[in-house]
Order: sequence, then structure tokens, then C-alpha cells
Amino acid sequence: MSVKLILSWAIAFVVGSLLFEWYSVAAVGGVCGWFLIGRKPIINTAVAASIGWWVLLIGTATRGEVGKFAATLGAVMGLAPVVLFLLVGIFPALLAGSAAALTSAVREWQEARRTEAV
Amino acid sequence: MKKSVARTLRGSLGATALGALAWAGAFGVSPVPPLGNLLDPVRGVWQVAVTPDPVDLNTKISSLDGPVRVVFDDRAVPHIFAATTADAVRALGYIVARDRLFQMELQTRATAGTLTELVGRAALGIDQNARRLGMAASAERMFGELDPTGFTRTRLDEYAEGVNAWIDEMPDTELPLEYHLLGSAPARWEAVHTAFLLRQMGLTLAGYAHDLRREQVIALVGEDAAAALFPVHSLLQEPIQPNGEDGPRYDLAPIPPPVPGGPAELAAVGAINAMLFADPSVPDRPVEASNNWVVAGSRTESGNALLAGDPHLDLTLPSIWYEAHMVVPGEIDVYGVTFPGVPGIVIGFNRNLSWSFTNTGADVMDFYDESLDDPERPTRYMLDGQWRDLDVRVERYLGKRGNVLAEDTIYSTHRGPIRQVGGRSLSMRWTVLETAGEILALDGVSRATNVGEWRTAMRTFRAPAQNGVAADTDGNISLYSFGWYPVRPDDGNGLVVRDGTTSESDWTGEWEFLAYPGAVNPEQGFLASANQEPVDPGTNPTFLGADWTSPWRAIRINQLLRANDSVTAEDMRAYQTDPGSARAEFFLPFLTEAGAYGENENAARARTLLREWDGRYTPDSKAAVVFEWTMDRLTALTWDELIADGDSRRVDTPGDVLLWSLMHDSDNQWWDNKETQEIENRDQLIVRAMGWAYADAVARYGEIGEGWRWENVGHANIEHLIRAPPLSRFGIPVQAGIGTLGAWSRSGKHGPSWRMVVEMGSEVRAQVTYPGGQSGNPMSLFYDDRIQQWSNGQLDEVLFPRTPDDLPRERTIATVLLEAGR
Repeated sequence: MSVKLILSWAIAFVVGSLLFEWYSVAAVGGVCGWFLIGRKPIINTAVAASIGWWVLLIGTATRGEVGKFAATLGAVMGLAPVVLFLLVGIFPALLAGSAAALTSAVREWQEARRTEAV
Repeated sequence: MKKSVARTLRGSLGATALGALAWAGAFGVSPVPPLGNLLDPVRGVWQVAVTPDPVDLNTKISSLDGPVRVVFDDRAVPHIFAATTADAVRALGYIVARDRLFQMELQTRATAGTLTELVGRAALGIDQNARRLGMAASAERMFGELDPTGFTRTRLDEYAEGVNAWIDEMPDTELPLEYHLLGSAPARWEAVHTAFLLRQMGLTLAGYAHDLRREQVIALVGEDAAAALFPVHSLLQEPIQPNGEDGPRYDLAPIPPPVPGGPAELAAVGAINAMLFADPSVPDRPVEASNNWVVAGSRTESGNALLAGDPHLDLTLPSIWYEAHMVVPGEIDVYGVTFPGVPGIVIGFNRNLSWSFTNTGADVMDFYDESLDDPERPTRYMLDGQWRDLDVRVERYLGKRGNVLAEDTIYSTHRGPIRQVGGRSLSMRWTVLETAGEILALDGVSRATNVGEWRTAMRTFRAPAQNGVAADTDGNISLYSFGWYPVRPDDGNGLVVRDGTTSESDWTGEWEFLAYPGAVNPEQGFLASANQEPVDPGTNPTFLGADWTSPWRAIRINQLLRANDSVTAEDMRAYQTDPGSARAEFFLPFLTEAGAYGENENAARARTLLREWDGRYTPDSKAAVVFEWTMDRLTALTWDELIADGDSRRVDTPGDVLLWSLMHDSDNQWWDNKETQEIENRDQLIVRAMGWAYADAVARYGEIGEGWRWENVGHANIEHLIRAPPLSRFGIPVQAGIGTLGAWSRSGKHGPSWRMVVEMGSEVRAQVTYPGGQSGNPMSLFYDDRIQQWSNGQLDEVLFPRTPDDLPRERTIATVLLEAGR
């Protein structure tokens, strides 16, 4: 799959998260998995979701001292700041990826049924 | 076929993972908070970093009657300009909530006993204790009895409207960090929550169970010794109400030897301990160390009256105080500090008057031994030969998701809630549970134009009893101990558990307002309070309390004020962190003159240090380290009889004045340490304590040298409300020791929570600070910006504008315009 397509989906994750709350990641991930059938839907969806949230975090960082805050928050939670940044990518990746796994499987099953019927 | 299985497996795993992640995202997995809301870069915890400081804002609040302009100066202090007091109060609620919302909720829940709903089961013990004390129930009852159109109720409603306006319009991006970490959302603010907060302050300042402690001490050492160790009147008199003396007056008396009670009495010690120490949040003896004083114009360089106040409370981040200025033309123009959650200024000044408080420490909590019809499931209690119905209240403790964690049934008599203590059913009467006039008093004080009006306004201030000090621009000074002081039957003694079966045990009245200890414009030209006994028993011996805070600070401030007949505001500031110690002055002669040093080299070294010491707790002092640790050791060695068998801590500790009194009786039996075979006298114990203290210092800091600095021992530890070390500030140097005006506490978690010096000239000038900052957001510049200044003993000169335009533009950081309507 082209980088362009992943970035397009990343934009979808950005828009979804801006308009709705975090759970939009699951919804967009599901849609993404549905349409990316046959094109490594889980991995690509997960990558797009991670990129989307990191982009949003970078946007937040332009408006506040996110690095300094990560150090404080990490200390409170007993985590290295870098782990927090990684989690911002990992959580949506897992959420969107699992949604994509579900929807891509459903679509494959549907198409298989259609093929069998034909 | 293979493909089909793989597809099914992938779909199933995807669905399972999706479900699990959605759960973790929405609800979290204890102790991890909900990850979705936490990590979301748009609305999650990261937004805490974005808008930590005040920014310009223009918004509408439906409850406002007209526009309110709030201008933040460069210390992040809001100057609120409104057309009506009601709007000013609404704006105060709005602004304080914006800066301190989590603190407001946490402190309210601590009183209401609903912390479990915010933090889960871990807080169950604290909640149970709060509800068993009856604080929330009493606040709700008193609130329900308020006239809905009356002053207090209206004020509380207006404040709640302001707080809720902020909660309603608060964007996700402004949610305080603590809510993100706990995975919770702010609860709405109810008007009664202010009453909860005032109850909490009552618990902090007047929640000491003298009667039960006294029972424990009597069981361990006998009635005569108990009475001598914890006397009704201070042996060292330096009262708030001047007694005509030029210095402290002594009433030393011999201390009878310990005579332990029988097995039944000793068993009760454990039962009382089990109740009083059931939860670490239950205050032990209150740490009282507040100061305030006023100097008349006749003794100041400028000819204007001067006032200084530094209430000592728990040091927390965010601070217990919030600084604000409220202006309503023709009504109020008041500056000072408020408790987040209280609709007005608590300590501060206006154009004509300044005021501050210290805790009085009167005995306002009594216990009664009740007779119940069924100790297990009681329904009635005996009074004057007749059964009376108990008030029964079932308390449910809920978890974060509304699940019931536990239930309690609280029984109350007409006196108050009952607690089981060692097979006895003790009801408690406590003034804190029966008051509602404090908001009215504080409002009246804000408007008062002279000390006479101030005193009248304080008439409705009932609990916790406070020593209020005031100065006005006419040059008047005044100090009174305001509060509800019960009058007991018989000898008036408040130190005994009374028979609950007769109404003759009940309080028979209260002190007349005009009898409150205090003075106006005394001949000496100054007045000071530092939690000492308010009135010399030679003037008025009526029971007001017992076991008063040792008057070291009172002695010191009076020494300083007597010695200076041209006091300046700068002197007042310097006095607040004066390192001199009357306590050291009183004890040093005994420590340095004790014999038998030859047998103890460490004690001899300690003596050398102490002999060269000036008694000042300066940060570099080596001797202060040895002195303080000697006092700790000496206290432990001397009062060992106050530890019950099988326990490790004293049931109570006599004040240092008692130890000093005992110093005058070198062979008193109390000097004997029961752990040893030999019979010790005073000097032997002193030498042992000094030797151990010196050895302690060597063990901690190595051989005497640069490491031996008082600042390594005496520092402040300012803990965040959720006790997260990264959000706390530990090891803050302070120039203070026990008994100095700066009043260091051993834990470092208690100290001068607000410092203020006001000069009452034609233009009122004030300098202030507190250990923290205006914002509750750890990312804010104003989270802890004042700590260094506070540590150095410095103050900020405040801006006190009459109109928004009076604020220098270069010192303004943001303006919030609140308008009426939706």
C-alpha cells in the first residue's frame, strides 16, 4: 500500500479524533480495515492510527510544553517520558488494528459467501 | 477451509482485543486510569500542558446580573470588579474553580466521607471516620435549616452558581491533571459543600479529644500527675489579653510521681487508642503555630498601625489558600486569601481595616458515657430516667462506579454522634457541628471600617474559635478570641467524660461575647497571639481549655515588640522568620550546666557547642541540630511512663513548658527512666540525651563539619494533595525551629501557610506570600512560583487597585470578561 494511502487514513484518524472522542479511533479503524481488505489491513490501519495520534500530539506540543509535561507525568506514573510518547502511538494502533482485524475478517467472510453463492 | 479458519480466528481475536481495549480505554484497569481519555492528544492529559496560565477570556454566565471584569496581575492574583456583591461572589467561584477545581472537590469529599467515589476503596477508612464524626450530616442539617432567602444561604448559592458555571463550560482541555490520573470527572458543586469545608477546618483546628486523652493519661500515671502534666492553665503566662506584666509570669508547681491505674483503666487506654488512631487522617494533637500581632501608631516609625499575620496550617500543593481581590463600588473593596470553596476573603484587608487569625485551641469537644437499650442494635438511650429515641443514620460508601463498598449505621443522641470505645458508648458534643454563622461574619469583616465594626461582625463567628487581630487606618488595634466557648456544669471542667444519663451533664450555656478574652488599644501599644492561653487565670480563671500550646512564640514576639518603639513594616516582615527562640533561652542554662560530663565525651562535645550558641535557628547553625535532637531524646526519656505496655508511642506528650518546669526539680521521680535499673536524676538524663543527640548527628552527617547545618534538619516538605512526590516540593530550607516564630514542625508538612504584613496608612500597603502558587496545574508558572520567596522569608508588595484602569498594564497578564446571559 502506498504511503499516500496510509497518510490519507492517518488524516481520517486525525479528523475523527478532533471531531469525536478517542473511541473514534475504533470506528475509523473498522472502516479502514473494511476498505483495506487484501492490503495488510491490520498493520496499515495500526500504522495510520499511530501516525494520526502522533501528529495530533505534535500539534499539542506546538501549543504547550509537552516534553516537560511528559517528564512530570512520567514521574507521577513511574514511567519514562518516552514510554508515554510511545503509548500515544501504541494505544490507537492496537485499538484501530483490532477493529480492522474484525471488519476485514467480516468483509472477507462476506465476500467468500458471495463467491460461494456465485 | 484453512483460510476460513484463519479468518474466523482473526475476526475473533480482533473482536476480543477490540472489546478489551475499548474497556481499558473507557474504564481503565485498576490502578491504570481509562487509557482513552488519558492518552487522547486532543482532549486527554496532554492538554494539561497547553493552557496552564491565565489567558484572556470573554464568556457569558447565565446567573450573573451584570458584567464582571477580572484582571489577573503578574502574580496571577485575580482582581474582580463587579457591580454587585452577588456577582463578585459568583465570579470568585468561577475563577477559583478554574484554578483549583480538583482541590475543592477533594477537600469537600474528605469531609463528606465520599472520597471512595473519587479514588476507590483505599479511602474507605478516611471516609468512615469523617462520617462517624458527623461532619457532613451536621453540615447538611444546618444547611437545611438556613433561611433560603437569608444571607448565608444566598451567598453559598451564588458561589455555587459561579463554580458550576465554570464546570459547565469547562472544555475538556481544561480538565485538571488529577482527574485524568484518577479517571474521574468533576462533580457539581453544591452550596452545602462550603459548609463541609468549614467543618473540615474545624476538625483541623478544634478536633482534639482532650477528655479521652486525659482518661488515658490518668490510667497510666494517676489523676494527680495527669492534672500536673496537662494543666488547665499554662505554667508560663504570656497571655493574649495583656496582664500588666512586662514579661512572662511563672506558676511552677511540683509534679506528683506517676501512679499507674488498675487493669481496667489500663485496658481502656488501648481502646481509646484504637479509636483515636484508627485512621492516620484523624488529627493527633493539633500542631498550633500561628502568629499574629498588631502595633499601634505610637510605636511605629510611620505613625501608622501595622499588622502581621501568619496562620500555620498544613503545607500542601496547591496551597490551602487562594489570593484574590474583590471590588464592588460602594460595597466592598477587600483583598486577601480565601479557602477554595469559601465565598469570601478569610484573612486580608480593605481600605480601612486589616485582620488575621490564629487558632485559639479552646476545649470545644466533650464526651458523654451513654446508656443504650441494646448495645448491639440500639434504638433508644436513657436520659433523666426515660428512654429517648436515637437518631439513626445509615451511611453507604460507594465506589468509583457507584457500587456499594460498605455500610455504617451512625447513632446520635441530642448531643451528637456515638462511637464505641472499649465497651462504652460515647456520644460527642462538638461546637464545630453546630455552627453556621461564619460566612456572615467573614462578610461583615470584609465591610468593616474600623476595629469596632470588625468586633461586632465577628459576633457570629462560632467555630473553630479564633484569635482575631485587627488594625485600622484610624490607628486602632485590637485582638479578641472569638468563638463559642461552652460553659459546663459543676466545676466547669471540660476534661472529663460525663455521665450521659442525666441532662445535668449538658452544657449550661456559653461565654458572653463581652467576656471573650482580648483588648483594644492597650497601653503597651501592641498585641500578639501565638496560640497561647488567651487570658491569665489571675484575671479570669474560668475554664476555657487546657494544656495550652507552650508560649515560646508569644514570649519571643513580645520580646521583640517591647524592645522596638519604632517598628517598621520591614521589621514586621523580619520578625515572621526571626530565628530567635525563647524555648532555647529557657532550656540552655539547664543543658549546659548539667554535671557528669566526664563519663560521656559526646555529651561534653554537645555542651561545648551549646555553650557557644546564641539560641538562633539560622540555616548554618550546628548547635541547633544538637539542641533539637537533645530535646527529642530528653522528651522521650522523661515521659516514658506515658507509653502503654505493648505500645510504642506516648498517649500524649506534655508541653515543653512542663519539661522546663520539671527542670527545677532535679530529683523528681519523673526523671527516672523505667527502662533502666538505676534511678536517674535530671542531669543524668540530660547528659544521656545530649550524648545520644551528638551521636545521632555524627551518624547522620559524619564528624562535625559542614554537614552539620540546621537547614539539613529544619526544612519544609510541601506535599501535593494526592501525595505524588513529583508534584510535591520537599526539602525547602526554612529559618525556623520549634518554638521560633517561623515554627518549624518535625514533619516539615506544617508551617506558615500565608504571611501578610499590612501598613494601615492613608493608602493601605500590604506585603504577602504563601508557599505555593495560585494555580493547581503543575505545568503552570504559578504552581509553585512563591516557594523560593517564602523560603527566603521575603514578601511581595501587592497591587491594590480601586478600578481596573489602576492596574499597570505591564503588570497585567490576562483579563476575563464575564457577562450575563447565555
